[in-house]
Amino acid sequence: MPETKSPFQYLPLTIMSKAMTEFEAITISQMNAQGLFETPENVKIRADALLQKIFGEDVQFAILITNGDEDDDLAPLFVIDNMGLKFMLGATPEDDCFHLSFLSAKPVRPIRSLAGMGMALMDAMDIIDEHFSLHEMGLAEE
Amino acid sequence: MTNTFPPRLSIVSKALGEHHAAHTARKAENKNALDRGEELLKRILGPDAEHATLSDDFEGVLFELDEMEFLFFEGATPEDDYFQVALFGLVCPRAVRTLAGVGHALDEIIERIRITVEYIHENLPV
Repeated sequence: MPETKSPFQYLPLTIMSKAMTEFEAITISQMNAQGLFETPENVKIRADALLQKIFGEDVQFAILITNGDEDDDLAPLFVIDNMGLKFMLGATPEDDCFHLSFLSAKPVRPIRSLAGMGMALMDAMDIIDEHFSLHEMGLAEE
Repeated sequence: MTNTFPPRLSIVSKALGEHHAAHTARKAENKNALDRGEELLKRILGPDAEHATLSDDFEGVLFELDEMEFLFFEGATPEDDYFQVALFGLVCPRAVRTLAGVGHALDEIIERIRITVEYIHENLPV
């Protein structure tokens, strides 16, 4: 078969295919006996590791919140110093992150470092600030 | 775990301090979002990153490659930087920092397309 080349020096969808193969290899290698990638043990180990990396010795003040009503939701939720941190499992530990909730504000920014946590806190403060400004003008949504 | 808790908001304050320090360091480094985006893209795609083109049709940093779009988000530190991947205009909200992460995002988008197409087929008039 003659070799076809796209004007971009690669065959269409080859880079997509590479990425999907990489993800498939990881999910297969990390599957448990039930054929699941996202197992409670896997999620908990990865969440603890990232929490430790972010907070260092302050990690001892983090409390794991378990909610019996949300058994299907494997993502652990930690509370530390008025901040709620929900863990999001990525394809690899480098893609793992936390999502912050602070005083009911939930910025979308993923967090992987203490400085990132500070940036998300600033986002949360902006959300709160905006909410109160709207509230003062009587425009806040109930 | 311990019963001796630190003063309230002290860890919040530490995080804010770290963010401000990182912000100052970032300004001194004189790197813009495009530099950081290119760095992360190279780390994710390796030599394939050279085929990516920067979209001039977008205000932020958006790379296009092999039918995919990579929207860059600058974090507090390079470790917090990430991409969101889009395929056929569908954006996966997942934060991506590795090639496997790109695969994960594509997997979710393709699943969304599959469900949508299935729904359309089921609801087509006979």
